[in-house]
Amino acid sequence: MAVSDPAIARLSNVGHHFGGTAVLSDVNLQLAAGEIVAIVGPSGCGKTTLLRITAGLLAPTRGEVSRPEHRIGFVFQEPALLPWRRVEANAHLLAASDDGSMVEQLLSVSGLADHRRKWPHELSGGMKMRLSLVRSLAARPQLLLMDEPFGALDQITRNRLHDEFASLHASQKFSALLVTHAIDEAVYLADRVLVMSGAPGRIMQEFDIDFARPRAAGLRYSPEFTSLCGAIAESLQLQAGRA
Amino acid sequence: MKQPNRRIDARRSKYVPPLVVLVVVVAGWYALAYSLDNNFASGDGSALIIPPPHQLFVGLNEATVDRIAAATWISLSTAVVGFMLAIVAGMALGIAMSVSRSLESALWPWLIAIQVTPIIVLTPIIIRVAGASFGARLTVTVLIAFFPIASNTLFGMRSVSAALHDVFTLTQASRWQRLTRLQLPAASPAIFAGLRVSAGLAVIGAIVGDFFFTRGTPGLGRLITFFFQDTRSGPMFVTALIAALIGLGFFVVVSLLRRLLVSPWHRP
Repeated sequence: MAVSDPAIARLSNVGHHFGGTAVLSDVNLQLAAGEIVAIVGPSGCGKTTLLRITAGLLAPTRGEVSRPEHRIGFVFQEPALLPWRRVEANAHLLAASDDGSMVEQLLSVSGLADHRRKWPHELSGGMKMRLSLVRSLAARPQLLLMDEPFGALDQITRNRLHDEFASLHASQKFSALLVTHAIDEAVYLADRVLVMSGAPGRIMQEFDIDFARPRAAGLRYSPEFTSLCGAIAESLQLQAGRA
Repeated sequence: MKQPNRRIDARRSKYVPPLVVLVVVVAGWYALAYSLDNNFASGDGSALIIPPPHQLFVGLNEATVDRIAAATWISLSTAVVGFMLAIVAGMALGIAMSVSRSLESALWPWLIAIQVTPIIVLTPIIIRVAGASFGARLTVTVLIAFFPIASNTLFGMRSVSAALHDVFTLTQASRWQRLTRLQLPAASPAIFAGLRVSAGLAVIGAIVGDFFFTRGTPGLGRLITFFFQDTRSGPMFVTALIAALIGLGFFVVVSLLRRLLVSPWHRP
């Protein structure tokens, strides 16, 4: 369904079950243009299902979803690169054929320009993830969905990618829905953090993140940041306890 | 200082084991040839049961060489054309079955049945459909060689990760784009594994077909039978060696293609 209101994507009373198992229940969510929303929740609460439903990869068993008809990017838990295509060709996979300069810029920003002739198997885990992000952004998405994209990376690589992602978001202004297990990642990257309950997942609490963009260098170590992370962790613990 | 040594070690580990196996095979061959009581009864090399390697070419006159050359051409052309047809048929079947589960369950039992049915049972049908000469040998070659290609194509096409399928779904890729840009490239390592098996089977098929369909110029299979019946073991073994070399050639060509097209990017 085409989006006719200011929201880029909207989920209304969305529920889903696999066979007899309810996974999501009455999820209401809207994503404004340029907004980044992070979702945290206990394992198995339906976060990935929610992303797939938002992307249109899965039809919900209940409720309505509106989303852009085109230009939806998805960054999966695994990099999902085409192993038979070199870095450059993978980066171009989803881009418009006349959008070469955009891909070049993204390769350069992500530090992959010097690796363009390599095969995916020759890249480190962090580089693969960056390439996956570049590929999705090269399509100039209106809506970017990310399923724990930094989950398999070490802390230093992850922090660097957070900053790269934030600068790409600042230049492209896409809307993003980020599923993550890392609360600090959610607080650092998002404008809002939603806490989901255990299965069947529903949105139980919402935290607004008001830190200025671009994020200050020492933000992660500030008392405000730590306190907000603590509040979200507490809420999450409560939901996990109920699950 | 250490690098040249490492290179020599690498070369050794590459070439020494095949050489050792070759020496063991030749030694075993000599041992067998000289251990048979009646192996050298005729004395002129014509009636050897198992000629030792240095006597293989005894009794190879010009007429025999011409016969072997003609038979080699027949079997080689049968194997090459049959292998090509097996690739087309095997891949088409594999792709078709990967697209439709119902087609897979309908075809799979028949494909297995064809695999396990002795060719001699199919001989009357093959003669009826393809005649008793080149077409029949070709049919046998295809029947023997297509199965590994079909099953590996099906396996490869089904092994594509769900995330990659999702990427193509999000781009609203057509079925053709999904097939040619995702599934076939992803399946190519499995397809090449099937091709390596089928390459050898195609040569076996060309020779086995020759046993059953006897019209026209004989191929290597029928020539082996002639030499066996004439107790000319030397030419018989030479003919068998040529068949083995053709099989090796097929394997090498497929391996080279794999090295060119798949090895650069594929890490199992």
